Amino acid sequence: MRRALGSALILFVAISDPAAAHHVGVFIPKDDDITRNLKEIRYAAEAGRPVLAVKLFDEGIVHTTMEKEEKRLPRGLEDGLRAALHRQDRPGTELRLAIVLAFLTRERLSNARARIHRPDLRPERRREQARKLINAAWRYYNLADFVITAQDARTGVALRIGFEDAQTYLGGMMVDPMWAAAANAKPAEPDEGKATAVIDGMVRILARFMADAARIARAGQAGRFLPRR
Amino acid sequence: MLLLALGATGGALMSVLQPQIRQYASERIFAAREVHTLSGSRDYDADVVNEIVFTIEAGLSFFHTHGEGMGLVLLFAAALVASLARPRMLRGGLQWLLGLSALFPVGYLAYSAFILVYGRDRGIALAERMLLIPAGSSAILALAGLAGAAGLLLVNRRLRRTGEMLLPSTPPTDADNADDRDGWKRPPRAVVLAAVLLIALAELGGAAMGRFKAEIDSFTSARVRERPDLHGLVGSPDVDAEILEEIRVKADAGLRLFHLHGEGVGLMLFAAALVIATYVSAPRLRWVLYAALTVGGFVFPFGYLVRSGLIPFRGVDAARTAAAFSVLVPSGILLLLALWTLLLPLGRALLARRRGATEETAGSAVRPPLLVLVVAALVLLVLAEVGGGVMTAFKVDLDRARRAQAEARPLIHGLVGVRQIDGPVIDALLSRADFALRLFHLHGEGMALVMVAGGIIARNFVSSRALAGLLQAMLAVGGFLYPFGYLAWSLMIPVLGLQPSRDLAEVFVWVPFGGAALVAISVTALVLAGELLLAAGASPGDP
Repeated sequence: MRRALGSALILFVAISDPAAAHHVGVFIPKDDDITRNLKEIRYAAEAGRPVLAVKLFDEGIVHTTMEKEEKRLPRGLEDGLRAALHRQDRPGTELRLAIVLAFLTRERLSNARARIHRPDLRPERRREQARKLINAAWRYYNLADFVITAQDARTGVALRIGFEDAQTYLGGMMVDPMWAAAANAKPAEPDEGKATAVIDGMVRILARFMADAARIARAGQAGRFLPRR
Repeated sequence: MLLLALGATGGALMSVLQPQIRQYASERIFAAREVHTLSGSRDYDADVVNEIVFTIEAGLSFFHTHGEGMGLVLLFAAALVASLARPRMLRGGLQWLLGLSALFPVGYLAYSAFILVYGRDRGIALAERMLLIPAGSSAILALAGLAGAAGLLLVNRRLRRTGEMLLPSTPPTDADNADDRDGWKRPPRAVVLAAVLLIALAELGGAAMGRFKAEIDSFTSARVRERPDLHGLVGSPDVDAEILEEIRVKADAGLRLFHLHGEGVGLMLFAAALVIATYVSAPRLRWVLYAALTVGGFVFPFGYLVRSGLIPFRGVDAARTAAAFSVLVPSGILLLLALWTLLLPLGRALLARRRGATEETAGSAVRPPLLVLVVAALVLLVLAEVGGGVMTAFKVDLDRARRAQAEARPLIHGLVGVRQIDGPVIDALLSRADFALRLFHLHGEGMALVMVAGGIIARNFVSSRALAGLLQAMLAVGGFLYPFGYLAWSLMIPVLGLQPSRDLAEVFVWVPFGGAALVAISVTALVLAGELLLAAGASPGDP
């Protein structure tokens, strides 16, 4: 926990130039198959339909993805999620789903980082590709944001600002261009080095969150910071 | 003709000035915050403003489509009123009602303008009350009256003296005897061939687009995947899926636009050719107009096909630019020039007629299509217009009824009983059912016009009387029943589910009846082409 906090603070300090002035979290991405399935599981659990929730999980793409990435996800996550769904443990379910989302976010961010360093691509092209991958990461992160922030507010803030800054250093922006500040703001000068540093920081924070959250979930302590209803 | 020219020009301006229109509308809406009940914070208002701008653009788009559609309806209906409605009072009344319905497309311009000035709900209500409902009702009344008059002629043999000449729409001054007036004149066979070929290709394109959608999508996706750099693919499935979907939708939209414009411009081409043959007396101007109309009109819809075809190979923006500069803009300008220029001799003829002086144009008279075809087309037109009205006026009630039907069949629609999960499923069903009803309205109107135009062409340009009769019968039956497939689909979606209802409509309605209409139009085109070739071979000196 302390290390996560430390990383968040370091990230804050490291990026306190133009990017830090940006707005955070306006962009709402479209669902893909994974987020759609994840929301269905969540809705069924919220509606008090454990059998349906487990069925949606077992037959859905979230389960397929988890099985494919079994070795890279925290041990026992799949069984723990199924058990939490069965016993209608809402905080336990939410926390485990957040771990899956954090993992997917981290994967997309790592891909984005790798793309920035692809020598075979022109600079504009690799920045454009990295921006798209960061947008894909945001699609998953914004569904985990509540749980991550509830577990540790500073981690959540650091990650959100990280998204904004990574986009900015890659010559893009997170917000809808109709938003007044965005409409008036000039795009910042791209800086791949700073973008890489920001993404590295985010990847570290997410890895830490996953480890902490897995430990909390196994201990059955998710209810300490997540609402039961 | 004025409506056709305005509708076509509206469409062109809308495409060219889209960014400016969007910007102007957004600024006006942001400036009139209270009218549009905005919060004053741009990041919260952005979505609301986008939605209002979208509605304004929809109004302009409806002006384009209804301007052209209503122009054609007026032209053919007015000619049929002049030919079929015998009592002078009835004829005059129907012509007046048809004249009033010309305001209907203008109502959509007002719709867009009123939204800007009075806010969305109030603006739409105002446009509906002041223009759309009165003008739309007037069109429905006129067409229903005309259908009644034609039906009466059909069942009462004593009254049936028509059939020899299709008359212009001008109400007669001194003669109630239809045969004393000049009829529409036959345009050249080549121009008619261009029109009917375009309609046949557009119908074929529409049918292929629906039948082979999966294959077309998979071809597009494969070509796009072969060019990842061009399309900005990144190699991550979740990112690329979104990009691929966008490209597929844009390529599909191009095909849809080819189908729509092919059919619409084909009809416009035939209608304008009739007008040129009847009202333009100067031979040189007549040939210039024929040439511009035929080349511009025939080539224009292929621009959308070119755009769709180029998208997977050159990217969306490059394909759009290439299609615009190589096909759409030059042919569109030619078509617009022809339409607007045609208004000059028409205006002159109108003034001359008011002074009592008429200029004779050479050419043989056009006979109307078989009465049964006319009645079928008019009934279809009335039902399609009523369908369009019902669809808008009772949307909420229709949606409520469909929702109840769907919710009563959870197994069919895969509903699980959780509102948040079932909601999107039901919404998708309602949206498809609404779309199918829209397609009934669109295809009903389009097919009714194709029936009338195709019937006129078959009766006047196909030499074999037996074949002409058969083609008209196929058009009457196929054209009349085909659009009801969309109505049936719309009604069946909440009951049977999306795919089973589509399969049923396809097997029992679209393929047999749409096929009959398509075969009739295609055979007409082939016969026309054959006769044109024979004529050219027989007398090479003829124009």
